[in-house]
Amino acid sequence: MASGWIFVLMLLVTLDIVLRFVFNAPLSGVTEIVEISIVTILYLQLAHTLKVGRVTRSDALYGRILMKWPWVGNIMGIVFHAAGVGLMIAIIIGGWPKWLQAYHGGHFVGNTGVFTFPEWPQRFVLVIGCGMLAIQFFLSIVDNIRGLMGKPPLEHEEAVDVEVAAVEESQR
Amino acid sequence: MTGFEIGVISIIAMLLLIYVGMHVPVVLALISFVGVWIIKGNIKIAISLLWISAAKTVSDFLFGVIPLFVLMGLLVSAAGMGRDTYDIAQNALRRVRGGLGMATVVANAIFAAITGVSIASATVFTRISVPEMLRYGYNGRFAVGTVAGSSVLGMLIPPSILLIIFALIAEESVGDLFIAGIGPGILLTLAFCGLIAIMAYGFPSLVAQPGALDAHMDQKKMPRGELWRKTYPIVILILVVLGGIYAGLYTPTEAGAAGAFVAFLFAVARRQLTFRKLWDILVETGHITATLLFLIIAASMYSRMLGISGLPTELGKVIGDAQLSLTELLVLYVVILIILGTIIDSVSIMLIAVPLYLVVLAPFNVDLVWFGVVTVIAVEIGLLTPPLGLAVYVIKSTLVQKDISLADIFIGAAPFALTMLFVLILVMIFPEIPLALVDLKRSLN
Repeated sequence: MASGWIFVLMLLVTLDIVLRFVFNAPLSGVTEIVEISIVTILYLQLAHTLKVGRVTRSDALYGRILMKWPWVGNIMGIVFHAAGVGLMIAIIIGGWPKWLQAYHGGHFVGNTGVFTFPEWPQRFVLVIGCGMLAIQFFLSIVDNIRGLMGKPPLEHEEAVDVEVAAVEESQR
Repeated sequence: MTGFEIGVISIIAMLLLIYVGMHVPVVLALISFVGVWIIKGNIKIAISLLWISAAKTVSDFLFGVIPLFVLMGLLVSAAGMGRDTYDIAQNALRRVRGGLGMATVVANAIFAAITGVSIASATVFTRISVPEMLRYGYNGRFAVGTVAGSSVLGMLIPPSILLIIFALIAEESVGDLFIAGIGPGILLTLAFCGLIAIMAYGFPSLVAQPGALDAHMDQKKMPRGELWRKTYPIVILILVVLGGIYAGLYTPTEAGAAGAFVAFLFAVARRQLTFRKLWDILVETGHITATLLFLIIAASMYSRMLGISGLPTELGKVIGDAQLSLTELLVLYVVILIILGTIIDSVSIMLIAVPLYLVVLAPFNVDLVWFGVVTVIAVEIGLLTPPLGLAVYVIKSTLVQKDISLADIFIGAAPFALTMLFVLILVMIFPEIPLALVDLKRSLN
């Protein structure tokens, strides 16, 4: 869903440009919509990004340790991922009162009379997103524990490499 | 412990944790959290620092620039324009010795002008130009080295994600940085072509098997209609994105949207886009965006922590006392970046090093646009150097020819890395290379 929204954003901003130049009538609120959307897209997409292993890490050394001494590697993994869980919980603790505050206080973004949008949805998405990320980190811990006991990891999903797919198609 | 000591320890701990393989954003967030907690002795402040960064950092219209340019780049690849740029460049250079290598470089430069990610160029050209060069008897080592070397053009020639991220950290204009990337980008392209010419004439055995060097010269010229059909979409895209920014018609974020839209239209018109494929592209855009923004957020936690620790100010004092000249400072900076580049990815390095160095450089009144270009080139050299050249790993994983080893790619890329260093030194000595066009634009507005 978050991914589809990027496409909508593209159309919206393009439309804004066209309207501004051709009809001299810009859309109001595009700036605000984009601002809200960036945060929303980020937090909805983050857990899945971690799941397919795309969150930045320098895994050359870690990968080698995991191959040579799976025992050491998995314990390191548990520590790494536990840190992820802990931090996400910290952000949720910080963010939970903020979204309730925004919700009950009726906070909004934008300029009164031009374009306004309530503030609580993006605050709420942040909490949800961090929650999903915490769960995903936790699942990685489970994988590491399974690794310690010699069991295969839980099911995995691989990201599609769109560039390679595109090149291969163009060569057909 | 003083804030200063905590700051220093935090940097060492951070590099260590990144090196052993913890997720980079988690490292940055963790170090900042613990650092603030220790300095302030209050966990509530640390928690609220995390939340403020998480909620406020990327909530700005300017950050829309990242997903939109990523989307544009992926759509351009999906429309098959990588292949087109290679065909055009090969057609133009088919009568030149070493022309296939130069064609790879030039095609990368053109492709870079319509996409923003180095890694995209590395993937695309590993599949397109490596087989072509091998077919004509070029050495595998030279072929992959050329692809690795020229893929870094993607980050220097605008639009470029690295330039965008630098602009966001340094609070400079994205448009100015884009324009500053043009001069050095062209210079680097020419330098790479020069390097290939030197290798092809001076040391032909490095480039190809004996007698194979001139084999591609009998290729037929591309018919004019086909050439036109492959060229005009690229020209239009460059005009829409760079032309629009240069003329001040719209903001970089809007340029990204317009560029993505035009690329989308071309992909649809060429019947290269199914719903399934569009969906994959959008998901991929989401992944790249989330990765980058997560890093940026974590880095903003870290720079807030540094601010609280007082490290940058202290560091500024230390450096002021040491009486280092600007040149010495910059040389030190470049050396640090290149060393970090051997272990850590480009974006993370920039997010770690730039905020610190901005404070250090503040008394010297350097032009930050120029500093950004220097940073990007220095960081990109790291993509080509062992043990962890990212571009090299990407090429290895996309390569069909499994008999070419990682070491071969690193060795093949070495002359290109040295050439980059040479260009970097030129850019540092002559700031006009990136800044001439920027000044021109500034004087127009």
